[in-house]
Amino acid sequence: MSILFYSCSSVQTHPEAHIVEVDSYARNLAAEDDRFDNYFENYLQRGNFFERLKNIKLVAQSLYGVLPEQGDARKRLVGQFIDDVQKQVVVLARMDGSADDPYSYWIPSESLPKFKEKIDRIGKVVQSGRVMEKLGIYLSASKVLNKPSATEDFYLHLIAKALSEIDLQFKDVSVAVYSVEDRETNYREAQFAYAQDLAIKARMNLKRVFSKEQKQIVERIDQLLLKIQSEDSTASVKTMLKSGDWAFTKTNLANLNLQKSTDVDGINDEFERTISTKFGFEMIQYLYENIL
Amino acid sequence: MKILLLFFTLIFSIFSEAQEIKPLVLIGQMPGRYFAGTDAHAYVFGYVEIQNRVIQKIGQLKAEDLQSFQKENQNKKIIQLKRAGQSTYDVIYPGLIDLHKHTKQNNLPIWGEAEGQFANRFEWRDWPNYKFAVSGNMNPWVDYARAVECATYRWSELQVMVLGTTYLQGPSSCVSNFSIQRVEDADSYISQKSSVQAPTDLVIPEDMQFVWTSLRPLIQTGKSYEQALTQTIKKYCPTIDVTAANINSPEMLKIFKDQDKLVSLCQKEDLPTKFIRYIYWIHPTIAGRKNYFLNKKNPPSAIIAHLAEGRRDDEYNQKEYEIVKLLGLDMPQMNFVHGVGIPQKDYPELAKKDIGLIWSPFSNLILYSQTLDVGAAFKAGVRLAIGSDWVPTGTKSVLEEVKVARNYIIKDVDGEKLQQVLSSETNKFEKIDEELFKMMTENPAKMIGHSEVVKSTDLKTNPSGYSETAIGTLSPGAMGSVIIASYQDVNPYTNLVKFTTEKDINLVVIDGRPIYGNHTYLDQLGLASQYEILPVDSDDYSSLGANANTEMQMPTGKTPEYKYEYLIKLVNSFASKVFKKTDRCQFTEEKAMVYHSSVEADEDLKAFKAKTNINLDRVTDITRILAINIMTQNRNKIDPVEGKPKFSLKYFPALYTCNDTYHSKRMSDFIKIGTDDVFQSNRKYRDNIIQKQNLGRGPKELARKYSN
Repeated sequence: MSILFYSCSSVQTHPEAHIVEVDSYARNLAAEDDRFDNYFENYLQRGNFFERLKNIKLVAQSLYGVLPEQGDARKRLVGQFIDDVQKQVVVLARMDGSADDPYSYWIPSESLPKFKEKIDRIGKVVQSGRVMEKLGIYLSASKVLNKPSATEDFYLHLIAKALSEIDLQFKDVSVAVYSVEDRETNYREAQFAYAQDLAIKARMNLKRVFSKEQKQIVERIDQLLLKIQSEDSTASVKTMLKSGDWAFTKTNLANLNLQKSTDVDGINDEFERTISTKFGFEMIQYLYENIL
Repeated sequence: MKILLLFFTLIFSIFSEAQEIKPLVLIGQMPGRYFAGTDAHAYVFGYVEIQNRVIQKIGQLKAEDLQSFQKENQNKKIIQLKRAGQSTYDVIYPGLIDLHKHTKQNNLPIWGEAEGQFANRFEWRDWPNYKFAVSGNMNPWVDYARAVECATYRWSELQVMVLGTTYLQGPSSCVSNFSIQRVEDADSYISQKSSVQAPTDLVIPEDMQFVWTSLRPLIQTGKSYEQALTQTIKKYCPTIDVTAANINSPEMLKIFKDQDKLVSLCQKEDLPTKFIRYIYWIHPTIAGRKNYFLNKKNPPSAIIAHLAEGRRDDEYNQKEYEIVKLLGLDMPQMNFVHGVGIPQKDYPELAKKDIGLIWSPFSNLILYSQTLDVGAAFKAGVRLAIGSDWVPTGTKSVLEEVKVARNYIIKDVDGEKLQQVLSSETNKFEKIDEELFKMMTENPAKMIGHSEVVKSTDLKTNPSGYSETAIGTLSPGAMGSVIIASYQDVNPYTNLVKFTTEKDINLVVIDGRPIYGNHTYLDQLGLASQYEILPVDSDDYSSLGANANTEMQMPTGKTPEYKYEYLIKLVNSFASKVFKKTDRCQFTEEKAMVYHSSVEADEDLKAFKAKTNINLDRVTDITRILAINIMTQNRNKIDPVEGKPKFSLKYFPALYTCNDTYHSKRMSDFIKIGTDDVFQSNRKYRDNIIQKQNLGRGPKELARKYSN
């Protein structure tokens, strides 16, 4: 799989690193190019799969931490990815042998307890990462959103490479354990999870992007987003895409301007509202049009 | 038929009369400036009569005529503004105007880590410690349903109301029919003008690089912004039928806003950096501002935007006004908040173009150890207003901000002859106080285009008799929003600027409706039992933080519905909790807020009230929900991933500064006349960390992007 929203440029020290209180763990990550390889080899390539997932989560959290508080569409995607990883880490932690798996370099082995279920859980994280990446590429293609900074790029690259490594190892797993269908199911579930999360975020800001006089528009769009919020059927999605409500929402969000925010965060707040609604809906459309 | 018509007309007129609200007549002292031929620095005893939202009459009175005046006006609601035990009448002032407020974060404590160390606003906005200390404590906010949003904005209004502000700028929603007026709301005035626009950011460093690098060279050859942008678009997107004349038109903006079409119409390679982003997103906002100013059908009021916030010597800050000029937005009725970095040489130009500056010295000095060159700006004739910014690094209201401004002028640490200049070379404090008074009243009114009165004969449309009203003044045709303060000094401006604090604001009237003040005044106005006694205290609310984790755990659901239910559970879990009152203010007379009834007209708030018994028209309930939410649910407290426990809130700040010991101490210690103070030690601190920690690399990097 392609590994980046953008190709990874050379990693630079964050311009604000001298005053930025990032965990020393994360700051070291971003310091130099060669640390990328070191970190990848030490924490993301080798070791117990369960520990690796936890490390992937830490990288994603570091990425989340450096993304702007508001106004960055990628932040919400990374947030959803963290949720997805966390969900699987919690389930895996309850399974025998996850934390103290003796394999230093995890080789898929059907002798592992609950092997099929573990593979499936890890597979869900990999597919969540794929959806995140595809949405990132979609956002970049729009040309109206900022590119990731070098630091963000660094973390994205690490996550993508770690997931790619796991995916590669899955090739050694027999089809009986993890089939193409399993993989597709996990991908589809991840698509729904992202769409639902985007719908929730859009609903949070919906009233803030329309005026009081546009109450009826808000209510109609909210109803559609409410459906998306709980949708998990491909057939329903296909119907929904053809509905009048969908066309109505698309039309009303298409030309959304930046809002005149007087918040202390100013332009970031303006972008936040627009990204939540307009781009949130666009990303949902993209996910739905490409639903498996 | 005619008889029937006559009957209905009679019934209608009787009904209308019954519904008509009696004129309000306030009798007290006023600054002499509102009476022709009178010493502006003296007090005049007289009256103000308000009806149909507007001041209809203002006049002088002699003590011996008072009885006959009352007799002649017995059909009106008259109040003599003389409190029991006082020998002098209170003073009537126009309601104060604050053109700079961020209304979302004012229930937070002061931000203690701001010690004057920053170069510009982007430096601290990007600092993670700021995010933890401010937004980390604000969250959850919108997520937690509209009730919290409403309470937050209402709190900001209350905070300034008790300090005499009647017009507040800020991003408030949910404040209609509650307490004071919002500057940006068209219905805050009787006026035909478009409403005031107040976007925080006008110049966006990330996105103005295109203007700087691609358009600036063309503009420097004599082209306008529109011509330069048209030429650039034609170069890269030749099939777009754009001209300098239509580039700001709705039709052309529609093309620019069609993201896919725009990309398809422009060449794929070698576009200037952020070209598409600029055309798609930024230009429509610039065009929107211009169209606002040029709209002949609905004349503009004003635009208020932040500009050049930070240090005077910050190189990037010094460029922001130049960028505004490149955009062609240096237009009359444009007003800049802060403007500290605008080069002094540009001040005469600002004055000539009728561009005002909104000065927030406390916030500037706390964040950057520098503020506007106020003496030079004043001397150049730039119109100046005071703005209080926000509580984390500013003051609660302009009445507090003006005290910092006064001390700054008097102390004049940089030897800029501020006393001399601001007193128009007289060196009299009362002249300085008069100028500072104007910065809270007449000046901001002029800056937002609501200083001139136009009479109307069409009483059906304008029952007040005016089609344009003024604010910030006491005169016929001015909006009936006034404040009443105690008499404490022989000079009316010094009285307000130096001596008046929240204990001395005895009445606040909005559009002729008394909404807050000493309960005896409200009783006299026939409002007994229609108000809520204040103040509400903070000490017990602050203890909520320590016990937060034992009360409720972090919500697991994401949806708005889930979070709404969670908020209800949270609030109800404290239903039996009695918060003890510990009042340090000890006002000689209790203050009260007149009941509002906005909740009943709002379905969301009504439903919330039914489920929690929280009435967001009551100050006690607003305080209660804010304290419970912010002390127990802030991200530092409950989020194991993003939270930073050491930044969790330590206390919930009280509504009144006299009950808020941290804020009170920060105010009193900041600039002290004749002795060392926090401001000076902050400057030393900044010098040290600049040397030792190399602070300021971010701003330098930003400046590099905008080098010549």
